[in-house]
Amino acid sequence: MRKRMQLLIGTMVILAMVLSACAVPVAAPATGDAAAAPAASDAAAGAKQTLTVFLQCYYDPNVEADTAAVAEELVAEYETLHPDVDIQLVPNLPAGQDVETYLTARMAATESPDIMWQQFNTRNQRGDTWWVPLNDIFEMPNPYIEAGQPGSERWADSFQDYVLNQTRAADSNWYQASLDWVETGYYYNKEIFAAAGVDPANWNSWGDFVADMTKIKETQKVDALGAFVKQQGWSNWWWADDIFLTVAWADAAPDLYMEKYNDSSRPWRQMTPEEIAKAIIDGKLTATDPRMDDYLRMSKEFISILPADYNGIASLDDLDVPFFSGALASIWTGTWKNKLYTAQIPFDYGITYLPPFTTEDAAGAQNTAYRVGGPSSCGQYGIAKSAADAGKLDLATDFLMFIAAPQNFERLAVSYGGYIPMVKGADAGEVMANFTDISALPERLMSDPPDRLGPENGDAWSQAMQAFFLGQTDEAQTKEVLQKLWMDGAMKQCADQQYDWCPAQ
Amino acid sequence: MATGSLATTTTEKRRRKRSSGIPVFVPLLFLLPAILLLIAFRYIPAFSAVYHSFTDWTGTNNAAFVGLAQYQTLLADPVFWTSLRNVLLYTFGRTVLTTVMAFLAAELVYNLRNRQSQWLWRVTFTLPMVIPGTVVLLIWRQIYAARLGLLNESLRALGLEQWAQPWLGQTNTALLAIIMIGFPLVSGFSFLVISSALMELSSEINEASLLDGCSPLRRIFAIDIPSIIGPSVLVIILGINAGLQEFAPMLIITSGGPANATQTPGLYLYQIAFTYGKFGYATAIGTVLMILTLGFSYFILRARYRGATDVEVQ
Repeated sequence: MRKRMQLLIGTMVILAMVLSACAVPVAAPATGDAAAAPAASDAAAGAKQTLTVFLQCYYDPNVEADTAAVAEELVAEYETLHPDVDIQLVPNLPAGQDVETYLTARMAATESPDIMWQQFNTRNQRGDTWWVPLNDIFEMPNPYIEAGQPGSERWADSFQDYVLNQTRAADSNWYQASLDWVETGYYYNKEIFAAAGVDPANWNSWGDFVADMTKIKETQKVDALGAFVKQQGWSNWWWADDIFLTVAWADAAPDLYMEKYNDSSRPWRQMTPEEIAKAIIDGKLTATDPRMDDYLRMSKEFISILPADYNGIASLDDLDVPFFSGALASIWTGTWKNKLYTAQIPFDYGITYLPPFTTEDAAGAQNTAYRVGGPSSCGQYGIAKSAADAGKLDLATDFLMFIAAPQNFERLAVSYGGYIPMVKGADAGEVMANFTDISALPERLMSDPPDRLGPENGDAWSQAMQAFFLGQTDEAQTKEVLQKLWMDGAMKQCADQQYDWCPAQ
Repeated sequence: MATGSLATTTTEKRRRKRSSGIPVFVPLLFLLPAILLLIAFRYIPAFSAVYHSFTDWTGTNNAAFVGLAQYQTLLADPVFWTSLRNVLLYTFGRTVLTTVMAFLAAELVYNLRNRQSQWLWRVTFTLPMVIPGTVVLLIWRQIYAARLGLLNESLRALGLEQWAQPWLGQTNTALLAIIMIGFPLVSGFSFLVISSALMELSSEINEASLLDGCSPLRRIFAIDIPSIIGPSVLVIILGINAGLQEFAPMLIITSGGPANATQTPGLYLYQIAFTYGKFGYATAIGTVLMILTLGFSYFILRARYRGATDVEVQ
């Protein structure tokens, strides 16, 4: 009997431990009007309202301690203004940890950071299933911007138009505030270029560029340009792909735009996902068009000046060693490398860019190059739907506005030194010095492959082009594959977004 | 036989209860936490995956039942079939090479006369187990680099410039390069299992074989190999299980490319789920993979025990 009692008690203890371990913690009651009066509501509740914030590289204490300290200072200042708010910064993920896996698991468990970083294209694909649309919030005044300055009456006014244009989702919503920007350029080894007798100042066309890069490759026995092609996910070949498509279709751009997105002050702009889908379905944008011959030819010419294993390079970082050691004459990279390169490049280097594309290069060319600036930076922040469901939307909005105020965001951006602030009134710091000319170029007509018709379609585009580069498909077959991808992607977008112009399915 | 076994078991239980005074089910209580964790983190996810493969689950939505639609998509998906072909090649190549190399290494150590030398080589072969797998993969990524990679630079130094290749950038060499990661492919675990099995062999048999004039090579084929079939099958089954589910080398080194040349179902599943948010489809791939793994394990085990003389089959 005694043994049975012991056994029973033992079993109950184990079960109690298991149950308590599995129990869901009871959530603190959420308040609704955090921004307006967080102090009052929380004082009544007798507890601080907590907001979790993931600032990506702007809060990475192990890697960028100085910038992390600036972020902590900003949080302290905010908490001084709002004593009943507790802002918890979530450290950036360690290198190699997949943010999408991290985020998917947390979203499924409604445990995402309330303000969260995500690449804008993936974020736009998730749309309102994960994120709060910011359209109405962008119309509100930002109380942290000095009166009379852009954004003080309407927050959206503090952002550049092209930033808003490029970050708009296929459903026309904005799901993130893009506070900074990455610009790209060609860092080149002046010694190797001089030895080959090449001066970028003499490039007047794409043809000149290819001829000189080929000359460098052949005479100096080095790889001419650091770029690579990946079948899944980002590679800097995407930038080339955007530019070649842009060049090939530049003359047709006005016909591809939709009236509702037109802005008389910006006759040239990047196409939105909706415009791309409509142009494809209307038969205006087709991969079987002769323009695509120019696109495919320029793509192959580009590949010819890359390292031999351009199809097998896993990361742009892998090209740093050959570049630093003189085995690679130039590398196409972005402002985020500025700090590292300034400190570590052991030779005299310069920054240049693609020359203008002429009609000899492609029939549709408009005698210009195009910048590959974009919002793929650290300052992309959205508000998780779970935060709104928990009653924290106003607080999240208020803190996001606080961070986005030029005097605050400038401190983070200048400390980090890798991205260009896109908040009007914020100083860009030293990072911008080498990119002034490049940033004056017109933007791309076409965005990166996954931003056109979704990530899956974009990866399929990369794979089709890889097959073309490897000789698995010829030009005719490739055009056929690309056309199918475009049409399938456009129809899927129609099915998902239910645009009023979509054909009946 | 069965009744006899049962009677023996019951008697044994009574004996244990009498001798220790502890009811036989008390130890089971100590197993309970482990069993609960196993159920929570292994069995429930596995059954959940099978269930979700019949839905359009995106990871966060209220999944709707779609019947066999995901499996129909799977059958018509050329990338899946390419990935399946790749993983079968990878699993076959990798399992054969790692098992053979582990066996060779174990035999070499077993045949060393000096105990200290044996210890030294055992440590040498097993020490790499402590290096994180990701680090090993990152190192091999650099080894295979076309420019400044150790492999190509070594070939150039040996005057074999023409053999230097963009190993990971060509469809005809990328999968082979992935299979050869870790060359000379002596897996610490396989080596330990086979080495331990060899050490268990009776020294009397070895001595008898020597007296009978048996050469070391003949001894290996006539005595050693038949005697370690059990552990070898374990190594092979674990190798096949790991191979079929493999995705880390492809994820870290090639992302499945170029042009799907190193795509595997495990990596494809991961991309479909976490990049495209199509968890329903991903779980269908996972379910097929699970069935394949179970099928391979079953047939290998069946083949191993058919006519086996080194185990007691009840």
